[in-house]
Amino acid sequence: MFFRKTENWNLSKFILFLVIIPCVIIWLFPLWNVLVSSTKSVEGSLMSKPWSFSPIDNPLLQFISNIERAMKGSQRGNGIQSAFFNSSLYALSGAIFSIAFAALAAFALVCLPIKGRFPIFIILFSGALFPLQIYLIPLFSLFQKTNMYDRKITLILVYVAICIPFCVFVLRNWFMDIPIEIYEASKIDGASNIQIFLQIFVPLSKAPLVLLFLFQFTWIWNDYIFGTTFARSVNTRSIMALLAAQQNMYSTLGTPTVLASAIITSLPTVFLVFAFKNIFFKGVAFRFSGSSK
Amino acid sequence: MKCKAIKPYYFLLPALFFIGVFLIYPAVYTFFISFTSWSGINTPRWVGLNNYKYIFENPAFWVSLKNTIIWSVASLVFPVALGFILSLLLYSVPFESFFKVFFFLPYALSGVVISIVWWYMYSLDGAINVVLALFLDENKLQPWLQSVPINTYAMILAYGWKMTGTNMVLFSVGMQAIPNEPIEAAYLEGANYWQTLRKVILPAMASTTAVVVVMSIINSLNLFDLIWVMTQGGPYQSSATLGVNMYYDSFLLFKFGRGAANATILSLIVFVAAIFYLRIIFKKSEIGD
Repeated sequence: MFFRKTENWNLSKFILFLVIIPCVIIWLFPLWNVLVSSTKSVEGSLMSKPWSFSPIDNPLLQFISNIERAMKGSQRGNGIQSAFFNSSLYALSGAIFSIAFAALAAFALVCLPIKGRFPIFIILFSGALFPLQIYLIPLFSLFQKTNMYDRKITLILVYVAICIPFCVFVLRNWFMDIPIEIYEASKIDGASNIQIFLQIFVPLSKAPLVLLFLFQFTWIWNDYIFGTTFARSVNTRSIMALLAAQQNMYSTLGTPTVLASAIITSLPTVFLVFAFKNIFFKGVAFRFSGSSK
Repeated sequence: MKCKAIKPYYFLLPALFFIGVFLIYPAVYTFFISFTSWSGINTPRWVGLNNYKYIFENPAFWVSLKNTIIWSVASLVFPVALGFILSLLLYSVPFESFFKVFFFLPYALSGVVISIVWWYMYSLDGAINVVLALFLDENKLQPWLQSVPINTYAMILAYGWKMTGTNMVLFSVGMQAIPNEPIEAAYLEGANYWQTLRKVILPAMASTTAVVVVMSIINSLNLFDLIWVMTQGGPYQSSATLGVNMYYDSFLLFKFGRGAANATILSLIVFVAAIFYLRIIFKKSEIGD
């Protein structure tokens, strides 16, 4: 019986394993394909199937040399080394500031005497629903006019803004489950709003704060459209913008180098998903259904 | 006490500032630009509905609209259905979260990385063609991303690879929330697998399915990076969607007015879907404040 939760093993579970394990293998095949191909030289990949190692290369040494080439690039400006630093800065600061500002707003929307709470909430949340394309043209021209185009601070500001809606959404839901009596009692004890926020609400909200940090870090790290539209030079380009630029030049860089690039740029987020898989599962459910339960 | 001076509205200020300057202002301004002719250098010149007229008379728009619809429908059929089947398979398997993480793994990869993974799979001497060469004639093999209309479906497959795990997790969460009693009752009354699935599991999954379907439509409407990196909407804009077309007009041709009109049309479509989404997720909660 498939839907019964029983501890003991039976035939149907065994059959399920036989179905699922091939599915997992097929599912991971594209990754295996890329992983293996990144351990070959350009000549080696011509002499072997895409999914098998090459007869003429030492996989480990060739992988390291491909990575070195990916990091430095074939010419100035197309190595991903500096982009690693840029995107770390964007992802960390974007995630932290957006969560902080969203938490303040969510606290106000839930606890403080504010008129029009729901409309304000919808205004704050609406940014999460529209296609990103609708923001590009005015911001592009605004940044050019104000000499903000192609600067790190500009991308940080944009990332903070775009991450706020989802954070407000999650934290507001979470704060609403904290009994309002806690707020009222602390108020009577003479605590100020900011004290209640920092000393009671923030410590009670570790779970959603961690969840949001993981999600926003991953989102910003993986973003392409803002990174490629608002930045151009080596000093500012985000990691995915540079990776796409490398893919464009695959004939000069060599396909194995591009694949090695794709692997190392994915390592931070893949690590996070493996390390915190249950938080990610919960977060995905939250993003889609609006409920943490 | 000094802290008491902080007024309630001050808590909202940073968030409202960022949303106002970087999201609401540009969204409104895009709407305005869509009625102008503008290359980014001169001042916008009012042209009324000319951009929209041009777009609706241009076959490229209808191609991209058709592609957008294909994307929305196909990403409902493939990743959503497959995600549901996987969550059914994994429902009572031991180590299910160990298996789940592998299907979920593509979620961690960026659109650009997914594009590179599948661009390599689809290349002329890539894995797909090497496997197909075992069964097919040499001349049936093709550069999948350059052949119309198969390239759109090839990209949808790649997108499905990314999204299936997410849908699986969503369905799993919904399924785990089904109480055990009706399942036990069905078992005691001798219901078989299909009867239990149809009479107990599926009805309990209705609201989860509604959310997944609407969200999947919104996501595929908003999709950009995957198509842009894999084909740039080409060859000859044949695989572009509305979102790709907008970027093409704006940042390759620098026809901002036309790009803005494209963005406005896309946003209107997304807006309709978003209303459904909001109605589902706020159905039970406190709209009345």
